[in-house]
Amino acid sequence: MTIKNIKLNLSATIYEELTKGRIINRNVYSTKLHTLIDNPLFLELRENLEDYVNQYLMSGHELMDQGEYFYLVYKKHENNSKQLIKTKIYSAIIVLVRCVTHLQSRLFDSLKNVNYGVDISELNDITLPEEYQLILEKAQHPSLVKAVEYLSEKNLLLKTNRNKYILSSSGLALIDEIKLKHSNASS
Amino acid sequence: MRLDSTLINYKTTIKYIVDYDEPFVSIIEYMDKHSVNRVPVVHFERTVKQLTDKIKVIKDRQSVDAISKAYSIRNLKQHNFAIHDESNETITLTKFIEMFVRNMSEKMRVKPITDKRFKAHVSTLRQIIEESDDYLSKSTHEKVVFREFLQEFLSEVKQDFETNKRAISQHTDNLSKLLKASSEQQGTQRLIYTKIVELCERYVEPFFQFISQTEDKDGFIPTMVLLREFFAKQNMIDEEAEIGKFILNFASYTKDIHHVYNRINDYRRKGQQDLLVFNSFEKAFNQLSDIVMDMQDGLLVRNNLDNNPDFIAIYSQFDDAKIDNDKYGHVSFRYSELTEHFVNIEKDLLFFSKSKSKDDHSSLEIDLERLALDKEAAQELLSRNKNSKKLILAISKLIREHFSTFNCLNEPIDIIGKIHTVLAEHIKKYRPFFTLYAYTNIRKKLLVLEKEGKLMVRVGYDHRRSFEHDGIKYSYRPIFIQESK
Repeated sequence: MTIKNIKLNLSATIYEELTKGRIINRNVYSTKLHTLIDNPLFLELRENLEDYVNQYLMSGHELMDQGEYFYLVYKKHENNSKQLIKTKIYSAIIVLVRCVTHLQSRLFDSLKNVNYGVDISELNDITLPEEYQLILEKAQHPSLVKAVEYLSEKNLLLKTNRNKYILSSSGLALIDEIKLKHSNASS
Repeated sequence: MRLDSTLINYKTTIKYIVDYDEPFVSIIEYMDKHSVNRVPVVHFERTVKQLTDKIKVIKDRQSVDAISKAYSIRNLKQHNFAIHDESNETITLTKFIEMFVRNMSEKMRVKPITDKRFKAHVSTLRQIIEESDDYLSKSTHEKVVFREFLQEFLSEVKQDFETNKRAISQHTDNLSKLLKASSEQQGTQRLIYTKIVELCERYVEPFFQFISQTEDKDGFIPTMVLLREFFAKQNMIDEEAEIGKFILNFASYTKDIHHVYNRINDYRRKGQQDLLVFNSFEKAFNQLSDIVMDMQDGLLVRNNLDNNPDFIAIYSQFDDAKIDNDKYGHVSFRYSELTEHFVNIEKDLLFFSKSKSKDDHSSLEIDLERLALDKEAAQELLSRNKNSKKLILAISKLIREHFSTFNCLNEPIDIIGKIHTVLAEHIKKYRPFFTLYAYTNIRKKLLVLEKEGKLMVRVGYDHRRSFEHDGIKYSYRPIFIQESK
């Protein structure tokens, strides 16, 4: 293995991000341009994928390449019956999208468009029905706002300079998965 | 023929329907709302009553009677405007009056026609073509009937195509205007998108598919060409020309529909995407809610979603996803340091523990060793303390004996030098710092006596005296005391 093509400053940041359980998305939000731009960390991983796969394999991890995003799996935990991260992510995204499209009656587009996004102050104003609160409680999210912040911390949501959150590449991929799962189930 | 007194003539009925169309508008609204063709007579008569009650206030009795007669079921049946089904007391408008009222009313423009009707036209056209092969063998009467049927068919087809084009264009315009005017926050856009998707999937898309296929070899237009050829053979010039015009118009017609289709399809795509997410997440949420409700039985030891195999199994991503290092530190933590740290804690615990483990020999040895060391140190300290105590007592005794009173001190004496002389004489293992210790002990007493005026104490700042002990010369600043006079 040679690391001559690896950008060491980026690889250190990649390491920090991945080992903190964060996702590296294809796009990041640019506050200067107020738009989504290519993520240099993602490009670095994509261009030297084999090297990075080996790097994390050697430390007992697996670098998961999902096309539009990367994340790290800790191999030691494989076949673990407990899935805290997974259940927290999926439950938060289901509750958030349902809340925006149903309780707020907004179009799904508002979650994707950098000019719209989810506003924390508006979420604070919503009196959540009991079933929402029960799901959040069982998923160990103290509140809907905390769930949004959790998704943002994991990079499934991106914070814009309007202090709102929009879906990242990984967030959109998850929406697609849920959509596919439940539109197939109905047919 | 003289009309019944409860009936009025055709023209007058039409006039009243045009001027006061509320009962029929209400019927059509009911039909659209419930997706039915038949409307209960009670509903119809109630709307007529509401109309006459309203008219009574502003018009004379004659007008009210005329309206009542125009809308009497008998009159409507007489002029073929409605069909009354006595078996279930319902009323159905004939196609003519329904279209007539719909066209009059801006808000209920003609509904688009389903593609099934056009497919039926294609089927009928094929039958006509098949039948036309036997045309020459038909009797004169049969030929007249066949030609009449052909003319009616052609007229109906043209009317249906025209109506559909207008209806679809009108609906698309209305929905796109509504969409632009609607507010995103109020959720009205989703309702309009729902209508657009419905319009598109129910009418526009199938109809567009239908007209796209009309150019195929067995499609509607090539079959129409066959019909035109038939008319040409029969020297039916008007009919031949009519079909010719229809085929020519069809090209522009296809273009118009294509334009409408493209316009509405953009909205449809956006709306469909939104509805797809909306519906999918409704199902996903309900499923998750059901799972959570099932967890409320209190049987699970740790009743959280991360333990729930049903929910974990539904989705594919993030199994065993990396947890934040700050919490678990798999990579950066040194386990050797951790174990060493715990060994030390264990030793300390054993050292202070009163109960000794009989099974663990190594810990027993450590314990005894530590205890033994400690005992020796404690013994040494204890004996040192004993000696110190003896020494202190001896010094105190000497000071009491020699310096309890300071009488008959006519001349100033050097108290430091005096203490040194006394202690060095009486203490076996004298060391110079004993003198310093003894002086600090009596200093307070000297200060009290000075305050009482019994003694004079003077510090010899500019003097230096010395004494010798074990060959070493110790220099000091003398303190002179003298009895006050």
